[in-house]
Amino acid sequence: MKKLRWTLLFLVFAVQAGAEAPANPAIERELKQGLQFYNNKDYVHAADTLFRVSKAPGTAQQRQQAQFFLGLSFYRMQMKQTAAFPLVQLVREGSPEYKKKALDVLVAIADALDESSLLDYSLAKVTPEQLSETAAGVVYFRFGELALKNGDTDKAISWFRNSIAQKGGSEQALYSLAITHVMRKEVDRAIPLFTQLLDKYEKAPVTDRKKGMAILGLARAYYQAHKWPEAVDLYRRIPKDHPFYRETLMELSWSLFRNGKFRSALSPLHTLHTPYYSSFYDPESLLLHGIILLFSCRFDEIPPLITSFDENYHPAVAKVQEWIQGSRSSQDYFVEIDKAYRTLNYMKKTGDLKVEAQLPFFIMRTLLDEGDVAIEVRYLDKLKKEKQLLQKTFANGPQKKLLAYGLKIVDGRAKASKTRMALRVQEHLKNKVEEFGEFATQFEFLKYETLSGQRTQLKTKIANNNTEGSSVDAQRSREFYIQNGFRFWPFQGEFWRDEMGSYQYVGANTCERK
Amino acid sequence: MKKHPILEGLIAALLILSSSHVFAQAEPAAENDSEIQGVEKELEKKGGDSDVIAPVKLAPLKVSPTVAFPETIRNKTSSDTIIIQKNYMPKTERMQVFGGLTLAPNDVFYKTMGLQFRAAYHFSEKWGAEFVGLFLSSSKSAELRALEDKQGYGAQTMVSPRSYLGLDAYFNSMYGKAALNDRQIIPFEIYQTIGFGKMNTAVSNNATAVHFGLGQMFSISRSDALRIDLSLIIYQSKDINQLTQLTNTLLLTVGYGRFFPEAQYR
Repeated sequence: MKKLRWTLLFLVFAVQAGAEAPANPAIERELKQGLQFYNNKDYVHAADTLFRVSKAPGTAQQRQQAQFFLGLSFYRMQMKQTAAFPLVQLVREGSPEYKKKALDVLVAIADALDESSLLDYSLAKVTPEQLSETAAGVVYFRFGELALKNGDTDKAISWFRNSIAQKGGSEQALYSLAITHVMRKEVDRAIPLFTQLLDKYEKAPVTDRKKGMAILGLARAYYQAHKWPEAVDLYRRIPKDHPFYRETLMELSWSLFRNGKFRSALSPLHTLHTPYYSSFYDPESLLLHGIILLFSCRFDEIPPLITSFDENYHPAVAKVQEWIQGSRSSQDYFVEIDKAYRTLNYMKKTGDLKVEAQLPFFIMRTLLDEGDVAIEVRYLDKLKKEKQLLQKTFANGPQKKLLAYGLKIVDGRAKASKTRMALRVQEHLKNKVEEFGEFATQFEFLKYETLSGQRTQLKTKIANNNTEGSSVDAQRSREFYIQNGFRFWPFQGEFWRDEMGSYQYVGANTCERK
Repeated sequence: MKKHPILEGLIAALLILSSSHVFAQAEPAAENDSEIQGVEKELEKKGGDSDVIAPVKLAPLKVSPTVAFPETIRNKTSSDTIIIQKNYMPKTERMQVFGGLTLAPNDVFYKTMGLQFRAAYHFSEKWGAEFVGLFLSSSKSAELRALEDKQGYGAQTMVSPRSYLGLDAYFNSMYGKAALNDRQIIPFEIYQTIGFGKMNTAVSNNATAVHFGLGQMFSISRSDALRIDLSLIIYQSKDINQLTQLTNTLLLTVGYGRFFPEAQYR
């Protein structure tokens, strides 16, 4: 009996020890089958098989291998967000071997999705030395972005340089390095980098987005170096159908103004103040317009600009302030920005403006162009496409569990992204309200200077009995402008879309007449 | 042998607990939900704002969705603002080839129609030179056939133009643009042509002719154009009675023109 008891005890402990690794040949067979599907590029069946194996009570090695190749299968099927989850699981709980492999792929996914949480998570776990060269290049770049965000430009430069030196280093790192030098006011270092970047896009079409960014970056570097003519030439290289055209108008106007070409500086502003750009928040253009007219002593033309500011921006910002001061949840902010996004898409498709939101469309639409909001919009778009892909791939087959798994992941990430976007929108709206206060003060100064100037001008007019006639071409035939290859149209209040960017202001500087 | 019931009870309990632990490992692994939630928590460690407060609806303030620039900005600059823009379809130092259908609209008894070809070179936006080639044929109109069949009367055209070859000077006097259905802007120009050539008729050849033309060219793209042309050709030739007379032929042409080389700017 005693012997039996001790034998039994011995058996218990032996079974305990072996309980972590039950040798299940069925699981091993299924795992091999899943890997075979993967090697044959049958990723749907590979994912289905490996998903089952990853949940089965196999060995830790089997589960990790299944999880890793499950992630890879989703990645190959372009379901990147779904692929990230088993890989994050491996990074949390996997062996060092699989942790490293998973991180390599996770870095590529985070970079492709451009989603902040996944990026921050990957960067926190990784050291570049552990990764392949391509992945290391991406990680160096992201470290640089993080350093720049935290204001550490020395580290940012070092990381960007490392990224450029790696195989995976891209034009993004070159651009960011140049921008960092501009932020440090080292324009002489930024200009060659931007020039190098622009040379890479020499053969790209004129409407290429990255080429436009390179041109704009170089123009802004020249602007900062006070080289106005070079900046003007570069701004003028952006064509009318480029996505950045509207931004260049404002900056071109500033460059021309700083260069003392007041008449030319007013021309791009005329384009900005047409109905085509009436759905953008841009009080700075009105202010600049007023300042240039002030410098040209054309005081009578300033009041309509002040009226435009008072009638459009004051009530709009007051509305925003009232709204954000109420008790608002993340959902409210998201709903407003989402409505603006839908209104914008509808407007682009049909040309009609159908507004349903509570906040002014022209302010919310401008927020959609803010970098951090635009990133979340793009990310949500990617998630939407991934959801459609999941439905298309798994809905009609026997892989319903995979579909449920993928949809749960995508929906969860979408919810997190919407919350983040809402926070960013809230921050931007608060900044807009604060910034508006500064603009309002500037406009008050403009009002004062305008009244003062009008009074002085009236006195001079009465004293000298001056008459009007303040156009540069008052003594000149319009034939002067009509050279071969050009069309001339007098502006009579009618806006034609093809004329945007072709306006020329021919009023003279009346200060000279004193 | 002495029995120790407490010890035996403990061993039994140990056996039961251990076997249940072993069997538990044979159950399905943790639910997907807890795994997904675990990863979510890991990624969102910094956390976001997850408060849910019922929104407060305020009375709507009347705010325009867009910025309305006042009329005074738009109209005040009628004398201070001009528009200077490059030609949408430049013509300078470009060749144009044109082909179209021609109809003589002022002949009641005969349908005179055919093909017209032109090859032009434009020295500048205003001026150019153009070769004109015209090939016509005539057939009896329905009215004439009815006259012949029912009334027994016939009619013959005194002079039937058959072909023309000439050289014109091209002059662009006006330009403008049209908005098509508020969706597309189509630039156009109105031109005049004048020139000389040789007209062949049904009964005579190489009659000297003067050609006057008035037309409109609509730019479809930077290299394609739709052209409508009204031409008057005046020539002296022999008629069917072998008598020399001064004749004029009015022609309406509609066709397509192509410019090359490609335009140099966007």
